[in-house]
Amino acid sequence: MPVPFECETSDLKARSTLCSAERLHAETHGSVSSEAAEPDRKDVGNPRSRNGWLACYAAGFVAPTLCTALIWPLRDRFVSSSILIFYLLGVLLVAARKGRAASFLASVLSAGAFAYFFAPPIFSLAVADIENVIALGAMLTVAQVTGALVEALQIQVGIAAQRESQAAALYRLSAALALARHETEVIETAVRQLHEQFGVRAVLLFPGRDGRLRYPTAPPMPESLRSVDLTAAECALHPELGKSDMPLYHPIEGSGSVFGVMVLGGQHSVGASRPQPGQDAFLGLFRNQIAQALERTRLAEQAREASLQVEAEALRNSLLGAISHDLRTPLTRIMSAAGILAEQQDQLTREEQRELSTFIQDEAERISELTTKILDMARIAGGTIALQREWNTAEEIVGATLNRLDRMLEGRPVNIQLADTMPLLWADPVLLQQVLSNLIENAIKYTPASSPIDISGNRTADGLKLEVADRGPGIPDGFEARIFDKFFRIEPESPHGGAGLGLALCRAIVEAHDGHISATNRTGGGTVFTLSLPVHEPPAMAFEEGADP
Amino acid sequence: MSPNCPLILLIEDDPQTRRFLNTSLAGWGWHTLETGTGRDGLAAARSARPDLVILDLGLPDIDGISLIRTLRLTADIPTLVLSARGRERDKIEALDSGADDYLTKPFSTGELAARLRALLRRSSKPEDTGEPFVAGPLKVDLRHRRVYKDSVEVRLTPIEFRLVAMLVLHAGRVVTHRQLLKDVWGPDHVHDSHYLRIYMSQLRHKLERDPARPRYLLTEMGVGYRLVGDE
Repeated sequence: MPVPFECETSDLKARSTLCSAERLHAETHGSVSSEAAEPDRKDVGNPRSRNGWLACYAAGFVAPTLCTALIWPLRDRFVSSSILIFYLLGVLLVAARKGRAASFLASVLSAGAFAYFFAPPIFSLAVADIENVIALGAMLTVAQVTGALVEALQIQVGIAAQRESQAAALYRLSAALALARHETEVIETAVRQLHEQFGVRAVLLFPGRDGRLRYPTAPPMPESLRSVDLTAAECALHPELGKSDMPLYHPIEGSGSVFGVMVLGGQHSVGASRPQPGQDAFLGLFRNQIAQALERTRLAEQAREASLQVEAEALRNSLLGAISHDLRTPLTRIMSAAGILAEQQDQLTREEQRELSTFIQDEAERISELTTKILDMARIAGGTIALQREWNTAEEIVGATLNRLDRMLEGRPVNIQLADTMPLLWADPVLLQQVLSNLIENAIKYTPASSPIDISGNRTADGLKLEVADRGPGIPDGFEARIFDKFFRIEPESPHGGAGLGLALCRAIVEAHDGHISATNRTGGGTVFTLSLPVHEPPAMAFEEGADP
Repeated sequence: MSPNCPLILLIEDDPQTRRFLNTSLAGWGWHTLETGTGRDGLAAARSARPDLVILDLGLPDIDGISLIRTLRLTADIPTLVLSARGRERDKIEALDSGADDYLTKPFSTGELAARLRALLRRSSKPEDTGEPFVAGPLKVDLRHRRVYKDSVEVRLTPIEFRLVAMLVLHAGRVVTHRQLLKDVWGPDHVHDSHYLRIYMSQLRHKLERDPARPRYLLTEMGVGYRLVGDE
């Protein structure tokens, strides 16, 4: 007889018998009840299984009685072997329906009935005819064999049902675990599923920084902590120190190492029993799945941390690169100019002295601007962007940006076309100024000194649009989206310096405003940067103004 | 001390910066008084009655913001704040605590001179002298409540006029959004920044030659507005 887990054959067999009896009973009523499909917990000591036994005996009694009653009026027409086949048919039906015990009862009663009513001498249990004795023996044997076969089949049906339900439970578990994104969610899911499937309360323990297990700070079921013994759990965590003899403390094993302990308990909980010995292997599968899910989230978390570190490192290197390149150049100039002024003052004409001083002043201002920019970048790139939103007019932000860049623009033509229908912007003006500033600075950097910059603003169907356009070299094909990536530069060795952060910052700021930024090549040459921002309904003005003073 | 030669109190803990400021101020013909701590600075402000205080916010002994408040309470002396912190919130806090203007380090001496002159003008010229404010094509006559652009009178609404008057009274200095909203619309409206934006836009369209690139009504992004004249 095939059994799934060898160690618990007898136990399983008993329960499988019960469960299959129950299942068949349910089938005769036209449907498989949910209890039948979930055989693990609910069949032990269930009164319905007693009814099942009763039905067995009833069937074993009714079949021969019925056969006798049917054949009695026709006894003269049939030879005794035909009558025996009729009885055998009844026994087979009982065997098929009710298993070995019922068929045994039916065969014994049938044999008795045949001997008493049909086999001469009639009305006596004695059988005179040797032929009839052989036939009777054959019937009893056939009934026994058939009953045993049917029962084996039923046990297999039961096992299949149990496996199906276990597979379904495992599937439910893995589906639920797959949804969990963080370790706490995995733990919550695991504890809930263990409770639903086995009726146990579970606690998952993990070592803290010192390597010792700690009680969870936010257990999903706090009352279950009462019975948790950390010392016993430590034994489970370190199996190499000696086997733990506590059956309820299970190590959570990842690939190659034990990284936690699962404590199962709560046999006091209503309607639930301790996990049966027969379920150990199944529970083991559960634990494996949970361990895998935990390991998955841990690895994901580690990967995330690693990538954050890499990004922070790249950011730092990039900023350092920009600082060393962009700051050292003007600093070198200042130091040499100041050195000349300090050491050769007597030999310099008044005009030369003035020139050197102006030079120092200009370079120092460049450093100052750069420092501000690098600090801004570090501030915004370092963390999430906290918006200080205010109501603004696009015109004001454009105007303030151009004022800030006045020196860099050096009289370059700037055409501003802002539609009168431009609504107020609900935005962080300082950050938006930063965006425009970066875009305009880019245009200044990459176009000749007299090349115009066009700034326009329009209301669109679903928001508003601000465009900064130049007549520069444009963007090489395929780079339109990539230029907004952090540290991306079209020409990494270009003399314009820069860390490849400016446009990435622009995108971060615009996206923080639920907007969108894109770059396209302009018809007739050049680049257009387009900011699309959503429009918010400004609050009403609480007053109306009338006449002039 | 002659009235032509203003006395400036310099409260700054970095000796190098103090020395360089001292040289610059002397070069512009101003007297200076130096202290390295807030405590000494406060004592000097009480005893020497300077015309102007230059205050570094990052002093070792007293928190800059509380020093501004104390200075404002004990002696109504114009205060220019120097700060290495460039965040708008710090600027607004300093200005709303009573500072008259701020400069973020590093700054150029030209910028410093312009700010100091604007502050001294205000202190030497009480607000009700009635001299019209003139900047380029713009002329604001507060006493007669008239505003001209290119010698043509511009008609302003009462609120526009109150706004421009407030800026004229603080000409050359930054006025925070909060101060403007409180003075022009009243204390209930200090958070209604959209009023200010709309009216400032209207004012620029009436008073500036190119409202998209204002020359006189300048924005201190995230902080407030500044009306500047021709320097």
